[in-house]
Amino acid sequence: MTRHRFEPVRLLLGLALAAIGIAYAFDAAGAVHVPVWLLLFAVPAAFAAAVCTAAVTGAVRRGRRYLHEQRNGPGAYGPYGPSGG
Amino acid sequence: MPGRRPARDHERMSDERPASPAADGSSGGAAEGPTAEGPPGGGSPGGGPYGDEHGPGSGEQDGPGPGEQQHGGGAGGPDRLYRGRRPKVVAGVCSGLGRYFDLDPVVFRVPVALLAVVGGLGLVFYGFAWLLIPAEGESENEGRRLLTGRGEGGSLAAVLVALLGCALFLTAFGIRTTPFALLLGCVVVGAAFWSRRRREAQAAGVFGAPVDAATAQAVADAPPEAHAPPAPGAPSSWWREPPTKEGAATGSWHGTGDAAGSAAPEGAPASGPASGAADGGGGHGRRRGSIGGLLTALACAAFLVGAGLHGPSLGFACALAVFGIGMTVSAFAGRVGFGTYAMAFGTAVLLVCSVVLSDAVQVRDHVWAPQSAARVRPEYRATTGKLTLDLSRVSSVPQHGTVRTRAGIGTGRLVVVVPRNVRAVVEGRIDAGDVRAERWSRDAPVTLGGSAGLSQRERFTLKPPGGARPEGTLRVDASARLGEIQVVQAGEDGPYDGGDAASQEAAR
Repeated sequence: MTRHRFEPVRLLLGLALAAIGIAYAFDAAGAVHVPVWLLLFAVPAAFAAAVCTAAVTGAVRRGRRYLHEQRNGPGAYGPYGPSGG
Repeated sequence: MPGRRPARDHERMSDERPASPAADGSSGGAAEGPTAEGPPGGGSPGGGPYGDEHGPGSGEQDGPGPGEQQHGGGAGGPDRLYRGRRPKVVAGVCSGLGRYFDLDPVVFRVPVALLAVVGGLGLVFYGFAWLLIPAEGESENEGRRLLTGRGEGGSLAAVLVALLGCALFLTAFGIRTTPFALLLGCVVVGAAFWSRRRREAQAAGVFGAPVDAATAQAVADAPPEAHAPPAPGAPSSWWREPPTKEGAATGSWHGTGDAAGSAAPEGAPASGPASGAADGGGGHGRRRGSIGGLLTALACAAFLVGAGLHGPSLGFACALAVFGIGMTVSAFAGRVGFGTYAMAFGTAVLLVCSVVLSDAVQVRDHVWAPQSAARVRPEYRATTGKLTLDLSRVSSVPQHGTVRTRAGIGTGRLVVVVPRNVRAVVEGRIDAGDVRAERWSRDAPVTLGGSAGLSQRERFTLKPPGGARPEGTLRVDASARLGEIQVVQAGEDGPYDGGDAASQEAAR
């Protein structure tokens, strides 16, 4: 696996889905009881939060690239951040 | 912002597969490498109907993520997986698989059809393969097209097939066909990979230098393949070489015994380097470090384990947890593509469905056994499970009086037990299922009548046996949507227990 810059969307969605999956695994196994409405709420919420995070991340990255290019000229900003290439 | 666009393009290119013609050209050439010694790429004369179509089409195949997972595991395949256009029955999935693994498509068609009928897994597989594998000459698979709002009839049909298969699979889950289905699937997958490995070995000239131990073993163990009888007059299919070309050893793996000897010297120099280049090119072109395929495989395994332990809900939950953990990892290292998000979403939806369904379908036994006529309620209801209305203790209906009640169940079994010393008029109505009446006796219950089918309506009048004078009348309207209505007249030898002790307990 190649390391790359941090992707907040994947972290958020991954943690949310893992939590949902583990909670319902315990629920299905009978260890704890998780109400159904929580699941019905949590899955769309997780994906909606992921979309919002993606939008924010994109905006931040665009802004940073823009500032960087203002300072250092066009094309200086690599695809993986100011130093990455 | 003039400088922005190049930067983004560069990002895209490095993130996805660069559509470099060199890599794809060599990949196309290696696809034909075994079948033809022609120049790599382009429609070579020896390629047959398949080569003519495939060569030019593969130029700009920029495969989407999901399709890659079908063959992403280490095979380093010289060609990509496509749904075939020419020899196809439904959507060309089996044809494409057969071409990819160098097997007769029937090897895939028969198990898929069998598993579609038995347990529905075949439909699940076919539907998802239809969605995920792009058609020949197309750059996008149907799933991606559907999700970007450009779905056509084929996409919808694929979704329908997958849904139907899932429904069949979930309804038939408890049946014992699942191990059989898994076993059959394993056998077919094993055969496919064996065949592919073998072809790779031949392409790389295994007789000179074995690729690896397992491949050499596969080649050495191969029985001499029986030649298919040539179809006179008909154009030969792509997997069946014409008999005249067999001696020239076009590299389809038929004929280890005689043809392979002459095959090696010609085939090795031409196709060996081509295949090597394709492997290198493929590795280059494929998304580096994509963990989508690995995640999918792990999620499938988690689903199977969970479903085997405690039903589909646990399976989907485990698969979702695997996707979640993998995605968390991929926030820092390793890439996941669009397909992984889509599959995680699908898994979540399936989890919701299975949890909601299993919550709605609470199979419970409801037993009511009123002790006297005065305590008979006007109505008894349950949604699912078994509803037993035991009226056998209602022995003294007021003289010439009538007691009325109704009993209804949505899905399941409705048992109405009437006492033997009153005249009982039971009207049974069911949308789908059977209605029957019997006189209970521990040794030999007597069936009094009944019917089965759709929209059944039966009226039973149960009089005291032996011409005794009835002590009043009991009227029961029994209704059910789906299942069974059983009307039982209590016998002499003790209360009806219906074969179980459920009616003994909880006299409410």
